[in-house]
Amino acid sequence: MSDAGSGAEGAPLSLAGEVATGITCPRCGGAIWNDHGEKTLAFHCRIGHRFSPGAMLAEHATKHHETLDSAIRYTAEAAALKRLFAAWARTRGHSLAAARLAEEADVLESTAHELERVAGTALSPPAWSGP
Amino acid sequence: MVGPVTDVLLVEDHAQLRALLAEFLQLLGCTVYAVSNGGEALERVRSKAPDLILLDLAMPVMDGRQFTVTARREQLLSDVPIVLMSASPEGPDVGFEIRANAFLSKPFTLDQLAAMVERFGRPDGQR
Repeated sequence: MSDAGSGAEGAPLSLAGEVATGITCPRCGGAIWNDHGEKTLAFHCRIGHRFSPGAMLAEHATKHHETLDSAIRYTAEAAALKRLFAAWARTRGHSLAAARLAEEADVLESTAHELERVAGTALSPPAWSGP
Repeated sequence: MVGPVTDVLLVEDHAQLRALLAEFLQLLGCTVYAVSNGGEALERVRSKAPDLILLDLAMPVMDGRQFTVTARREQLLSDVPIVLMSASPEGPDVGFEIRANAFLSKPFTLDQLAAMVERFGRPDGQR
């Protein structure tokens, strides 16, 4: 690997021994570089957030969990909002719009439940393979 | 926030969908003129330009493309935003060709429609 520049397609960007990871900083969302290529694991982003291997794993996992929770919450809220609009439409005599909004709320509720199920699985560790 | 005076010309040949979309637009506070083809839409824009046109692509009598070409030739549209609606995979290309401002792929959710009205509708006292 060369010391500078982006190599051929698929090759990691590298700058003076630093390798772009394709992972984003859990604090600012910027690109993360591995400080020493394949020799050690130590990470930093463009604006100077620095992570030991353990800190990177922990902070990235926290962000991951927060993002999944946020997706579930927004989906559930979207369903509730459409239920609210459906009720409002019914009071205005707009039965077609009310029915459609209720259908869309049903889909969102199912999606929220499915996201909860998937997130529960995604956040559960695999079983130990050893004793 | 959509003002209560956004005039929307809704051009859709499917009667039930037209009724549904018209109801929802009214809930958003829009004044809706609903017609079933491009010919009727032309008559409407010749008498009064709306603030926003929601235009189906495939319709009998005059489709969305023909409507737009004719209306532009007659200089009826000036800066009226057009949102093209279609289930056709060619819909986005047609939207680009007729210089539609946005494209809604059918079937769409009502929040997607609300987003278009928010984006292109007339705020209170504007335009």
